[in-house]
Amino acid sequence: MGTVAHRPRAWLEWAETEEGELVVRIGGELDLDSVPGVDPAVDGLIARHNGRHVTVDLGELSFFDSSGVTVLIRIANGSGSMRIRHANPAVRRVIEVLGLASWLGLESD
Amino acid sequence: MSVKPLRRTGILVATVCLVVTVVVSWASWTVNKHSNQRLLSLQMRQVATLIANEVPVVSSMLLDAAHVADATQADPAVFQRFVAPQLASSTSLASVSLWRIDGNQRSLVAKAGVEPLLPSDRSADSFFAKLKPGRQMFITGVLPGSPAHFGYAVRTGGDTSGLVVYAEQRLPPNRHVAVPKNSPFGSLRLAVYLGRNPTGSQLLEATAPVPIPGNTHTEVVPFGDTVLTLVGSSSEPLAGPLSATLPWIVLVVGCVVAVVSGGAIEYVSRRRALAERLARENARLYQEQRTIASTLQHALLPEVPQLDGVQVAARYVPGVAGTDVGGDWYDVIHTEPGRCVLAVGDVSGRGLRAATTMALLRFAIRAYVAQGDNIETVLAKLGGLLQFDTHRQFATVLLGEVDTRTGRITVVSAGHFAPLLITGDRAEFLACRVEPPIGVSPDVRPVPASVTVDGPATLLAFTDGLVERPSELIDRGLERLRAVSLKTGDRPLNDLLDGLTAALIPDGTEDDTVILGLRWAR
Repeated sequence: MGTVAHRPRAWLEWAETEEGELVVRIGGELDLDSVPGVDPAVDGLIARHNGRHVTVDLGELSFFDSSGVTVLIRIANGSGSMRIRHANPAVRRVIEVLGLASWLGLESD
Repeated sequence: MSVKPLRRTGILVATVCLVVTVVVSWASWTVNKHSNQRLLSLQMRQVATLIANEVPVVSSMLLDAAHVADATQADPAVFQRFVAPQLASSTSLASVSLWRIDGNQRSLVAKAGVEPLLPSDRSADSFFAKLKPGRQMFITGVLPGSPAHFGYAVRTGGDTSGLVVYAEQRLPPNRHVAVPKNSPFGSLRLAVYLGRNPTGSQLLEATAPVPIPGNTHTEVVPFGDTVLTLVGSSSEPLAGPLSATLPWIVLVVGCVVAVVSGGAIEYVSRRRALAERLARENARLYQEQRTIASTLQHALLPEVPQLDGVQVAARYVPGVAGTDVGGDWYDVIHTEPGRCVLAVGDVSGRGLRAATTMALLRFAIRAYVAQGDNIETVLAKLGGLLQFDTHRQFATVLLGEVDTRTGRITVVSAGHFAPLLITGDRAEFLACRVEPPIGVSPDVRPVPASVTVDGPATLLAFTDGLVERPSELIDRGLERLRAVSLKTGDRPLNDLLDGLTAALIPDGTEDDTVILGLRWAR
């Protein structure tokens, strides 16, 4: 029960595919309150894979606002190049409205 | 402080408990007393019955002896033979004697047992004088002596002459008799008196020191020409030990409950009073903090200037969620006659850090505008002031340049919503390229977009609080703003802004919100 109650609202994890592609997956609800919860994971990611190309998969991100964008900006600043895939329409629009679509490499999938 | 009335509650509860305790205790004491009284009277009646049953035995012995004497012409030998077994079988029977009565003369015919005490007593004459022939037994009263006796007699024959059988019975030493504890009446303190008055001189025997203490019960038993009066009380609770101690148990338990519940109520009351005081204090502090936040924000936001031919109005609505200052701002800078620069922006995050960055950006824009920079240059220069990696902040900024005479409006955006333009029966967001927010990239190359208004028009710039709702596509919020603006666009500018605030964020919003409106009257 305790682990369920304290389960973070947002999570971030990364893995390398067999082809050597670094894929970061972000899920849950990312906003002003839950961003601090994933910050340590972002720190770890940047420390280990600074300057690499990153694919960010937002397929499991259900809620996202302009505070959540800070996580994507940090990953973008820490990587050589970046693309975002599988963002749902609401997530897409938050990125687009902020004028960050091309800067963050938002794919039009 | 409301501690005093609460204390009264504790005392009231304790008092009510005590009153109930006393009443219940009194009731159980009364019940116990009544049952004790009832049981005592039952026991006394049983004792009285036992004694009453003894009386005929005594009187028939005398009558039998009298008949024997009558039948044998008062033969002393026969008489003595007859009464000898009676004397032998009784420890208390002291003597039995036969007397002849002739007128006022009396003479002793025969005697068995010890010397009777009667003849030495002065009341003997009157006692014999009152004897009447028949079955009636007459009693002397207590005869002093050592031991004391009491006598009883029956008479036969006619009115003037006849025989009297007179017996005396010893009274126990000190008139005290011991009753075995295990006897049915072991718990009874009993005294037996001769006659109706229970006075010490007429005490026959008692099982306890007289007068009998406690709640006594009295029974009267006929005995010859007089009566025996029995006075008794119980030395232990007849209704049982529980019934006797119940009132005390009730009293003690009740008092404890009264004190404990009074104390508990008092404790709870005090805790509640404390909690209420803390809640009031919290609410006050919260309100104070909110007021500080709101005051600070309003202090950082400018009074809007009035321009030639263009009316300006602005609204700032603090977020309902927190007590922090927000990072939203607006500004209108009157550069030269007929020209002004407007700015609307939003720094990410909340609190003093956001407000500080907001102030930095606002005054930087004023400084760059004062230098004569155009809005594209101003926006590009802002990019050098904020670095996301250092400050962990970014800001969306919309800058607009308005020529009040020509009606030309030019805007540039860094991550910010394009403004809404309402003209007659149309309401459209300006088509404007949105660059990344300030702080994200040091290299900002804004692309300006222009439109020229002719005739009545309203330009609305705003921040995300007005159009964002959780779990909703941002386009729906933008469309809501467009629709309401189109419907109410012809209202006076201040009414329009108030109406938009009321319609779009009726219950307030998590985030703070800014609306800036410019109105061309013709």
